[in-house]
Order: sequence, then structure tokens, then C-alpha cells
Amino acid sequence: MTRIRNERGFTLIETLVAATLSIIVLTAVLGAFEVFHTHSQKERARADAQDRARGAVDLMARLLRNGAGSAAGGGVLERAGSYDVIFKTVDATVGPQGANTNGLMRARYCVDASDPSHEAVWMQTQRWTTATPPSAPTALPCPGTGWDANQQQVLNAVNVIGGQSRPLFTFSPVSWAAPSDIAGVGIDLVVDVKPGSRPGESRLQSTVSLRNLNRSPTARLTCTPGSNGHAVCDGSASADADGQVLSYTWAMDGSPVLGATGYRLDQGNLASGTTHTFTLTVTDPGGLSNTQTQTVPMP
Amino acid sequence: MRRSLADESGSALIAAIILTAVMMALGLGALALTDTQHKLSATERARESAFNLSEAALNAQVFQLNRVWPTAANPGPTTCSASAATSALCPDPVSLATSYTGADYGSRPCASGTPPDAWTTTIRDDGTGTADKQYYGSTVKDRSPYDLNGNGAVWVRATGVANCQAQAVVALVTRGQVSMPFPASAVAGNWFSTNNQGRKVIVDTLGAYAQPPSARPGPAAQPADVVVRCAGLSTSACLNYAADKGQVSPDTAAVTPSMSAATLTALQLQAVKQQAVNAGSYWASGTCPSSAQLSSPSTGTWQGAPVYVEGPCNLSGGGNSATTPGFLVVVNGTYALGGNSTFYGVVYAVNQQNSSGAVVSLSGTAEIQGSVIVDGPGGIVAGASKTNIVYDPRALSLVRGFAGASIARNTWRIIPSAQ
Repeated sequence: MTRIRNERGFTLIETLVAATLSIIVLTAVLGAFEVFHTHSQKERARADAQDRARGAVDLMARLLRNGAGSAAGGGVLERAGSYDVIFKTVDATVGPQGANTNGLMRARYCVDASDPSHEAVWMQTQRWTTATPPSAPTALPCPGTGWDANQQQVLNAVNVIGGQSRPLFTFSPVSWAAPSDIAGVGIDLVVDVKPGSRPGESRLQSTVSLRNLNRSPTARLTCTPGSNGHAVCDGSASADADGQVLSYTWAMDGSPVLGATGYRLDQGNLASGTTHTFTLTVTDPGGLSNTQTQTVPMP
Repeated sequence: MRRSLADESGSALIAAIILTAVMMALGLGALALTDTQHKLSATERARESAFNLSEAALNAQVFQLNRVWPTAANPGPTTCSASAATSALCPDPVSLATSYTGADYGSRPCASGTPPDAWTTTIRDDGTGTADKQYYGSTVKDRSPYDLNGNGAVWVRATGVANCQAQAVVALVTRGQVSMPFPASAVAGNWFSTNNQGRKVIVDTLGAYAQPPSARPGPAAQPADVVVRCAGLSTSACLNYAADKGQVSPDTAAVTPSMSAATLTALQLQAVKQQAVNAGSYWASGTCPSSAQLSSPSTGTWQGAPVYVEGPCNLSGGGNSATTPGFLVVVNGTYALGGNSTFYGVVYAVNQQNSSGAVVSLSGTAEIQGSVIVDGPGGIVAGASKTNIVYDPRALSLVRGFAGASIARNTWRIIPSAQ
């Protein structure tokens, strides 16, 4: 009852002081909250960009690891640019497609930097059901026409924009002459949600060894006319770029020498004064071969 | 003053609680974001670790196949794993366990469907048809754990598990064979002799009498040598046949003292021996094949595998068919073929016993269609009754050695771990 009857209150000065203090405290708290919220949003966006980039690099590496060379050429990569690669690969999740019994598909990764504020990495794929793969679409723009599916894999790449020149793809050996020579691919993807402001760039890197690369062997032949009407040919200097075991077949004057399957051929009963042409063909286990011919005049 | 201090009214506590709650919510949100990032990174790391382990297991399995090829006589186990790798064809579990340590590879309870072992490998035949060549579905998993069709190719599948993440890789592994630098001779040894002086062709150096007739050479074919080293002998003693009666036709007999007394090096012989071991046609020291076993020497299905006899054995008889030519290697011992038997292929006597007598001899109407090679001071008695030795150049293609195993290009794949 005493409290109810108590009519004492705050003075005007007390109220003003309290209000001022409250405003100061609230302003500080709201400011902190705003900063925290902004940072949180940036971090979330950065994390999302990183997730997406990580997934893209992961898929890129997996497809490159499953990269398949053609039987004729042996190389895995069909186009090798700093911002644009094309290769055939096995989509192991799909399996054989009609006469395409290997379940092969063609994949392209390229960078679209046409919009300076929005650099994107695209994946384009081409599938077929024939035994022989169709030709790869040749259009250079990214994304190009002629592909079955186009997918924007990364939205916030900054490899190129802002005057940068950071290759998305690098290749080994460094001295490669043709895409079919390439044995390894380095991936370097830089993403930034808001270039020029914090928290800055994130960099994802990976290196893939092309396990299915098959390079052609080289046949090297040295034939020497010997005594007793013999000519001895030595193909032991022949080599396979991938270090695989070679098989040897021989021909003399255009006809196969039956039973001659070693690196050395000793052919007898050759008449004096005649000239013979010996041909060595070396073949690697992948079916790639190389041939060298030498003409031998018999003394 | 006392009353004022005693007054417990106010809202500071509520304001503090609200502020604390807001700050906690923000903190927990940031923590959740960080935690999600951490989990994604950990999953990716585990996947890479599992991939590395699966590839290491695959390579370790190929290494084992490099030493021993899986055949019907020596099949692989249904599965090799970190906890069950007792077969000689399995990867070494200690080596893999030593190389792959750390938090990712520790055992922990995983969801059902995750392979219980850190790694597993399987060997399966590659089938016969084009469609069978692909590693998809259960058709490959259900095949035999060895090279059933004898084409020198098997699928190897390896799975690695790290932090409950499983990765699987497959590759077609092919057996390598190297051809040996064998002389293209009908007969080669230290000496050569026939058993009569009649007018008949006993050694056909061209293959004009080869069977079947489709194997006979064309008009451009070159005859093979009959070549002797003649070490410690006179020419008449080491080329003891009636040259003027066409017993060697076309007559290519020649003395070549520079010809090596050892046709194959020890290393090359080892490669041939490994071929025979793989095929189950290897006869260790002290065991000799019977005549019947020489007729059908291989317990495997590997056509053209050598029959390798360490000896000492004095072998006789045998014979095979034109469709299954063979490569007989007698390291220490002799080989005699009589009656009306025919051996298709190459007879190679290493002559480890260093005999200067007849190491390979034919009698009656017996016939060798292919080539006869004797090392060291030993010789060859070619017989008397008919064309006992007929050169067939195709037989030399059988002289091959095991050169290990390797992954066939374009067959290495990452596949879904459940496949």
C-alpha cells in the first residue's frame, strides 16, 4: 500500500540522462550487430562460392582422371588452352550408351569473362550412342554452340577479370607441342564474391595426372649386311614413350617375315649383289604402332 | 536514499538477457557456418584420402600380378582385403598399412554399405565379347578370379575407405610378353648328323613339307639355316650328312664358329620359365613329364605356353597337334622322338649337363615341325626315314617370355564404390 501511494518519480534530468545513455548503448550494440551481420553475410557468400568452386574442381579432377584417349592418337586432351580445355572421358555413373560401349562423353571447361563483373566457369558436355565419337564442336566462344548440355559450374571466378591473367589450366610437360602430348593438368581456380573488398579471394588448386594417356612408340632400326648372305637388323633401340613392352613384326621386301617377333632379325640366304628393304613395326599394348624401314645392299 | 536503494524495480536484467540472447544467436549462426565448412572440407579430404588408398591398393595388386599371373592352375582369391590377404596374389597388407596411417585411416563405425576393410582388391577375367570388356555392373564381379579365357588380361578393382568415405577404381591389367631373340634356324647346335646316306630330304629348311599345306611358304620365302658351331670337331664330323643327296633341302648348312653356345641368356631363360610357371607347365628339378604329359603339357588354357623341364630328364615321346604348337625347353637332359610322333613347335635343349653327345635325336618316322636348337657342345641326330625336321617359321613366335603385368591404357577408371 505504501508503494501505491508513493507518487515520487524520476526527475526530468534523470530521464534525459537515462535516455541519452540508452541511446548510446543501443547505438553501439546496433552498430556491432550491423558489422557482425555484414561480415556474416559476406562470409556466408564466400563460403557458398568456395563450396561451389570446390565441387567444380572436384568434378573437373574426377573427369580428367577418367580422361580417355582415342585409339588412333592416344592423347587425352583435344584442346588445351589456359582457359579452355576439351577432353573425352568416361562417365562411370552412366555406363555404356548403345554402341558407345565405353560410356564415353566429351567435356569442355571454359571461362566466360565477357561480363567484367561476373566471370563464370562453364562445363559443356557431348554424348553419343555410336561406336565412333562425333567431332568436337569447334566454336570458340564460351559457352559455345553444338554441345548437348551447358552448366555454369562457378559464378564468381576472378582468374581473368580486373586485368588479371591467372590461367585456370596449366599443363605438363611444360614443353608440350600438341594436346596429345600432355600428361598432367594443373587446375587453379580463384573465386571472389566481391572483388576489391574484404574478405578477398579464395584459391582452389589441384593437379591431375592423366592416367589413360597413351603415347606412340618409336621404331629405331639398324640393319647391317653380314657375311654368308646374312643381313642382321637390330630394333632394340625402339622405345615406348610410356615405358610399356613393345611387340615387334618384321617385313622384308614388303612381305612379312613369319615367326620374326623379336627385336632382332637375322635373315639369311640373301644373294650377293641384291638389295633388300627391311621394315620394323613396333606396337605398344594399347595398339599404337610406329614403323621404320631400311634398305640393305648385300655385298 | 535508503528507500531508493531498496527499490528493486527496473528493466536492466531483461535488456541484458535480450542482448545476450541476440549475441548468442549470432555466435551460434557463425559457429554453424564454420562447422558446415569444416565438415565439407573434412569430407573432401576423406574422399581424397580414400582415393589415394584405393589407387595404392590397385597398384599393389598390379605389382603382385607382375610377379605371378593368375591362371586356372593358380587362381586369385575371391577378394583380397586389409584383413584377409593370405594369397600370394594379394597385395602386401603390411606395406599398405605402413604407408597409409593417420586419422583418416583409423577404424570407426560407419553407415551400413561402407566396406568394412580399409582396402579391398579383386581380380576378374575380362570376358570375351566387346561388351564384356567394360567394367560395369555385376557381370564382371561374378566372373572367375583368374585369366579364364587365357587372353592375358584381367580386370582389377580396388576400393579404399577413409573416414567412412569409400572410393573405387578399376583397370584392365594385361600380361606382358617379350619375344626372345631366337635364331631363325631349322637346326642349330654344335654338330648335326643324319642316320643314313640315302637320297631323300631329311631336313626341309624351307617348310615345303609343312602341315597343314596352308602353312607352306610362298615363292618369296627364304630357307632357314642348318648351322653348327663345330667347336672341337672337324667339319666332316660336325656336318655329318649326305649333302650331294639332298638330305638338307635347300642346303643351307654352314659352320659358324662365332655362333653363341648359349642361345638365351640366364635372364631370358628366367622369363621363359616364369611363363611356364604361370601356365602350370613348369617341371621342377627332379620331376620329369611322361610321354603322355608331353603330349598335353599345359594344365592351363594358355595356348603356346612353354613346357619348361629343369631335369635332369631324358625325355622321350610326346607330340602335339598342329593347332597347339609348343615350345619345349629341356634345361638339363635329352629329348628323343621316335615312332610316328610329330612335335609341332620349337625344341630347345639348354644342355646344362654340357653333353657333347646327341642331345636331341629323331628316329623312325618321327617329325619335328618347327625348329631344333641345342646349346653347348651337344648335337642333333635328325633321323633317317623321312623328312624328319621341317622348318616352320611360325613356331619361333612361340619363343616368348613373361614380361610382367601393366595397366592397359584407357582402362583406368574411377567408378561408384557400390558398382
